[in-house]
Amino acid sequence: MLKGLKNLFVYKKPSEHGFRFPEDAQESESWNSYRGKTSNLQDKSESNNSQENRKENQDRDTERDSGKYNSNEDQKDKKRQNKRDKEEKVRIIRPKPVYELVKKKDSRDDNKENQEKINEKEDTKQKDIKDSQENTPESHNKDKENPKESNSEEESENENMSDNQENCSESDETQKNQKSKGSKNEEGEDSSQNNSQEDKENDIDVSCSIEENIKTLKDIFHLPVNQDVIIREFKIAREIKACVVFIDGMIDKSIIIQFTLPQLMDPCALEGFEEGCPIDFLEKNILSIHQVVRMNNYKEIVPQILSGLTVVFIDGCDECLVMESRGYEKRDISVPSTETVVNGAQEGFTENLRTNITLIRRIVKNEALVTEFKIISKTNNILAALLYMEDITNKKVVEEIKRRVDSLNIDYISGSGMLEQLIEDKSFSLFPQVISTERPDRVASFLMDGKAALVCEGTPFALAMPITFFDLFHTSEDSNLRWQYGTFLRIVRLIGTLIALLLPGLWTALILFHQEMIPTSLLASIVISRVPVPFPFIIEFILMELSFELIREGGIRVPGITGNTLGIIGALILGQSAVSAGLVSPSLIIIVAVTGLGSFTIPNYSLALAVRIARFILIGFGAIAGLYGLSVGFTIFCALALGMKSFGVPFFTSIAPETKSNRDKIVRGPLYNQDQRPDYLNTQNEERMGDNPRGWVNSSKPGGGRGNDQGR
Amino acid sequence: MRKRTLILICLLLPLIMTGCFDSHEIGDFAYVTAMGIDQGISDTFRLTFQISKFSQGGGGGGENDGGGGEKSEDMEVITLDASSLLSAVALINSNISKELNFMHLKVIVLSEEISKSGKLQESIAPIIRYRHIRRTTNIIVSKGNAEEFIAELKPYPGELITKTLEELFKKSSTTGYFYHTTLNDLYDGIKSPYHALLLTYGSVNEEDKFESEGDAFEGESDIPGNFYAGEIPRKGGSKIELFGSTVFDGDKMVGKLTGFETQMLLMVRGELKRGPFSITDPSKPDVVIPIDISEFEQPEIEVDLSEEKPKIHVKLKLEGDIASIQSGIDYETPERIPIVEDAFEKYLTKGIEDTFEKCKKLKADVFKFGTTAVCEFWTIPEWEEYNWLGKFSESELEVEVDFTIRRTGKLLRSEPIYSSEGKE
Repeated sequence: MLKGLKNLFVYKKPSEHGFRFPEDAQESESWNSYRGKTSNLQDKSESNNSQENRKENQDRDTERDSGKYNSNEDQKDKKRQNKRDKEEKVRIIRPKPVYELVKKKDSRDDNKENQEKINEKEDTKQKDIKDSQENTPESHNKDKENPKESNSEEESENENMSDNQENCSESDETQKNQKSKGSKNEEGEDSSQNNSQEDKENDIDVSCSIEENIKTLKDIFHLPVNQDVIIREFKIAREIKACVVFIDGMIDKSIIIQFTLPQLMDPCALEGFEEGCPIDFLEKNILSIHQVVRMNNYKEIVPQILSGLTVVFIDGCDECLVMESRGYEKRDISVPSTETVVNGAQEGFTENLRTNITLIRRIVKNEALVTEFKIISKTNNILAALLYMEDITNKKVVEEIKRRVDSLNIDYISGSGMLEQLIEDKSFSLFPQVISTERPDRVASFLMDGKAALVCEGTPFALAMPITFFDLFHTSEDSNLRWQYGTFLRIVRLIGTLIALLLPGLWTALILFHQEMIPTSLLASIVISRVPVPFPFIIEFILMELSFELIREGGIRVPGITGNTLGIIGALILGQSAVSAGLVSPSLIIIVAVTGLGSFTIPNYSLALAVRIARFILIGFGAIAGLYGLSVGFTIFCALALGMKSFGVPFFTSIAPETKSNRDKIVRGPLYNQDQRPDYLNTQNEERMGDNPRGWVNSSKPGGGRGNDQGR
Repeated sequence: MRKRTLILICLLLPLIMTGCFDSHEIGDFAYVTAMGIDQGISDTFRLTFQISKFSQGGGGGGENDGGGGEKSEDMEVITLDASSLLSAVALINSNISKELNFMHLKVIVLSEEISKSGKLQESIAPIIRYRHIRRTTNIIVSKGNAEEFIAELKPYPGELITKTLEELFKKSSTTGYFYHTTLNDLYDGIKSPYHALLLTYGSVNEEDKFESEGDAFEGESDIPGNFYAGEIPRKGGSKIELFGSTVFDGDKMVGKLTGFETQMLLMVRGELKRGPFSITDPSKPDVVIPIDISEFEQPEIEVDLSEEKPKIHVKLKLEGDIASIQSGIDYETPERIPIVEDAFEKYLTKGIEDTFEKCKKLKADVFKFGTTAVCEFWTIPEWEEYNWLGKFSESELEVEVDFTIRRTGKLLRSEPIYSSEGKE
């Protein structure tokens, strides 16, 4: 059967998939264990188990009730509540099955989280006294549900609890930030319930019997209908039945062909092995694979298989070996296409998360660069990484990003573009609040400034936050060039931006309302050129702007090399023929073309789009009320932009509100003058360089070249 | 959200309320570039409007000549009698397909007749209130009818009339032969207790001074520019001439100054940037030495009101180059330079004193000495009671000119002419 399937199987190039990293505490623990890290708190957590459970339960109650404080409760009711609470506590501290304890060991949290919980325990105790008196009917219902579940299926109940535990600790952390505690927590619990229902499907332990395991796997992966998953059965040393499971195309075949099957199928493989489960023996003596982990639950195993790892099941063992074997097709690193620079690195991100992080790490070679992984979408299991400098980045920024990313509850995320939309502050704002860049060197400089970056598999873009307007306005080239050149380029860009934003509106206002402001000779040529045009000015203008947008958008879709040429030539021909046809005036074409050029100078694609849209709105304002309307429109845009925040940082920071600008707004000072990190980020370490970044300048060494080198 | 929408609507509503009624297509207007005011016959005033059609000879796309070149046929001149500007505009608007627009009005021409009749207050001063007309619009007093003047107002070939006029008025500060005035100056001049009104004097040159036949010129040259507009002996070019200036007492024209007198006047007022002068050669009176004055320091003016008659002291400091020496005498040598300097200083002193005397007779302080004299008073009522403009005719002037020759041109030394008869 399996052979037949293999024959049938046609090799297909797999779509790009990212590195799958441990998502939650359970996983990270298992990864840690194979890395050889042992945790000090392992025993402690076990002993604390019952205590924790109790505390968690209390936490859950506190949160549920804190939003629904009702001071008019009767005394009697309160007493009743107390009683019920006590009962509940007793109910939950019931004994557990042994394997559950083992699981707990895995699902143990990090040191920190435990520490926090211990701290919080005191708080929650105090709260308990209050909260226990304030239980509401809703919470009763909740409580009733829980025991039901636990009766029917103890496992799922425990899962539920561990989920709750996470939720609780999480929401505890964020309690200070949240005002609407009640609603938030309800949501959290709903989601946890959903999760638990989904998890039930795969929440099966690995069986001792290999046949049973294969059957389970076939069920899970819908074999034989699904032909991607390969189950290769064989015998270890001609004795013990075993099988390897993997997804074809996602793995590096040599790992299986050269380093797994030969070793296991060697008749002498079990030499020196005595009785019992051979898994430990095999892991330690036979398999020459660099990363091997043992797992025992399909809920953990399945995602690993899906992300390209290979799993070995062995008859007679209730665990399996998960081997690192990822090796799928991926795009090479190439020149960033949207952010080209003349002077600077020419590497761009790719769709592969691991590659992208490596690119960043290659620039920031520092142990303080922390990378945290998290699966952000529920169904397509997209992995995202949060990068920040442990000793620079403001902890609150990191916490806030984590809070937002953790709270995502969405089936499908294709990459950083969707992630950006889900975590930004204001969805209705025209301007971007997160910067999306294709360049690792830019991300590295953001990280060193004290910003945090999110890299997501699936798109060759990284997100950095928090940002200000000026970040959108800068390029990595600015700091690579000498400051005079960098400043010049920025001024050109500023003029380009202003032209792209204001020129069409200004032109409309001038032509329709303020003819006196046009120099007479210019007025004459406009009047002459407009003689054959049959449309009112505003129709003519919008017609032209729209066709320019059409060319821009159409130019992207035109296939192949013709695309660029066709765009430019098309615009020229279109403009020329529109003029000779008497549909538009030549002066207008110049305005539209200059506007287009201006918008191309904006380095950030999102900002350029925002300006393109804003331009049309400002044309409307200009057409309604002339310069007055234009200034009203511009003021509205300014007000909106000034009121906007990106992760707590106002959009125009360092102008409004005014902060130390470090000579890096529009005019860039010499490099050694930019000695501080951005003021608005409140970094842990504000100094970017020493007191004397160019040591040679003030060196008092006699004959040290002071006279020569400084050119005095 | 609803609240936000409501606020947004409230914010946007006033914007919509303003409406688009002020919005006009740029081609809907008839742009008036020049306006003339004459004494009316069937009504108070005769108004002449020159409308630029901005249309091109080639027509269409404008591929041949990119600019906005105009021919005289591209101008339309409308003349009518009306009681005021507004009623005239209304009358014309009802007859042409476009709307008269004064936003690009470059020049207002007043006839000498109406200026002398003292109708400035009625005719032109109220125009300053009119929103469409700029205060920077130039004012000319024309020798004949404004209507005729405007009929001859034609652009330099290939140029717009407005551009031609703009460039023409700029010449005021480089030659000094006429004074450039705007509507704002006119209003200020009429209402000011400090100085009298001075307006540009223009005329149509009928070419009658140009004598095509006759005896060769002999004798001494006249002072250059010592005549009025319309009297330049020339032929060809634009028939319009701006030369000299008219002097007003209040809103009534009392006299006019020649081009040379205007030069002297502007020099004292410190409004001349550079200027061409020529003096008769001190050794050979039948030839001249042209001198190009390139640097003027701001004149120092002192007014002494301690006595009955105001005493005015003017100190001028100028620098210039010798443009040519027709006599061939080597004035370049350090010993002889002072001869030319002294001659020029005397020449200027006399010119200024003559101009002053003329203005004294006309009882018009066009020199703006009043602005210096006012510093002697503590309060405005005291000043107004003193009546400077009345006292000006009794004042006495003392002029001091300090002239230095900086360069002698490209020639370092003049050499005599050698002929068969030897050295001259």
